[in-house]
Amino acid sequence: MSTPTPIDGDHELTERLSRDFADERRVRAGDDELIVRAGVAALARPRGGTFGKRTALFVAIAATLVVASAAAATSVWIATRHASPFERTQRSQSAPSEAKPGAPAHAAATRPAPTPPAVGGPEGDVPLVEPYAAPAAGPKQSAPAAVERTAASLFREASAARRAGDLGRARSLYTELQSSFATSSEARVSRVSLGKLLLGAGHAEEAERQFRSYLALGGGDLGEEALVGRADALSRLARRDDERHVWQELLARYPSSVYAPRARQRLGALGAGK
Amino acid sequence: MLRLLRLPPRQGSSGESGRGAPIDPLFALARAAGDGDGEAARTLLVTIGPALLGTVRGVIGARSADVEDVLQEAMLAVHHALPGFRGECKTIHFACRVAVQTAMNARRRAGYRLRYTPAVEPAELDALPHAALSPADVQSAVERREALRSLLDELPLPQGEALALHVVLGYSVDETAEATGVPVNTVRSRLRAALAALRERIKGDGQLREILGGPA
Repeated sequence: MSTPTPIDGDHELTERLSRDFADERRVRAGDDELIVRAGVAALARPRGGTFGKRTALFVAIAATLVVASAAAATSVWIATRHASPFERTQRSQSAPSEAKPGAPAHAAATRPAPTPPAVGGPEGDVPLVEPYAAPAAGPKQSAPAAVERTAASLFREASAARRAGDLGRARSLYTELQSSFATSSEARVSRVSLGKLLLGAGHAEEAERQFRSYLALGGGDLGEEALVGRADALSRLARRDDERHVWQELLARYPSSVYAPRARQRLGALGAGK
Repeated sequence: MLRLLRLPPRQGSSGESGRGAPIDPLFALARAAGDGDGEAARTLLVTIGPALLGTVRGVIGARSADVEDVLQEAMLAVHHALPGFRGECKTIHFACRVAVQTAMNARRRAGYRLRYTPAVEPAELDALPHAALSPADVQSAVERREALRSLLDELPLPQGEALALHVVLGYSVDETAEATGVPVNTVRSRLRAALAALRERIKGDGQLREILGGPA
């Protein structure tokens, strides 16, 4: 980028300000991951859906409540319609005690709300909100709890902890993300993040498991990184045959990858050592 | 940088700006993305991602908690704007201009929050070990950036956009004109007006005057 042209007598001022901002624009560690995450998330958002993530969250919660209310009303209507005249009479007599005035419509719901369609669509997309990706088993989450703990918020917290050097907390948050929102895209991406973190901390076996589980899901934007991470982990575990297969897979799947020269170099070294 | 799709070969005459600027290596990718090619869109966003991220950080502050959200918004805005992009300027300039607008809008929307936030975050001082500046110089740079950012919130959008592209992103006047699609003289007059507003602000603020008069 060229140096800004001075504007009349403001040369010194603009020069100084430009220097101040040059530092702000510098690339930082972890930017690649942030960019890929933001890009994937942006492409997962529907055209016209230019609202922010927070707005999206509140809209989704409101939509969930509306769907739940509608489901409750529908189930009551269906039950009433298909009940015998006797049951209908009984229900109408007991109705005041079941549905107190002012009580929310969904309070009487006995049927879970229908699962809304997935927001992301194609594999690898990041859903906007995660209240729908609640744990398969366990107590039903209330709306406020969903606001507090989403896959996106967990991922953000974990990444922040990792950047801050709090590896223990980062690891625990990534693990929580993977167990609580197992099907989310964030959980998937976190396998590469956690794998790198574990590898850096010397836990090669666990790291290899993380990379392998990412790759087992197929596709994804971090395939190259996951393969390289897995190969590195296998190298540390001295599993030379497995490492060789992973490098070969990398070259087969991404022949012009930026990691290809390294893969060839390692394959040469592994072959020579056979 | 992660590469998802190999860049297409350089195009012929298409992608060349009307001003006779060099061929834009990203134009073919941008056109494919604009035509609905999802893989091209993903590759383009990842390729221009660092520039967009730098833009967002420049406008809203590198330490802002909203960097990721705004980057995502900027990427979405670029993606939506691509079908209308005809190569009037370089793809990267086009994308950065969209990011500047998105980030400026985000700052303006968040104005109510910023009013209750300290102008300078102590965390910014952690840049100190990497810089060959004294703590006072680092602090001065931080305050100069904040002064300019708060001015961006108040200026008319065309002036703010020109100032952001020229000062925050370091574009030359010609590049700013190309990115915004207006004549060079229009950019000059917008910058003059914006810098005059900045000078007025400096005049009325003793502390700022001291900072801007201090070491660079």
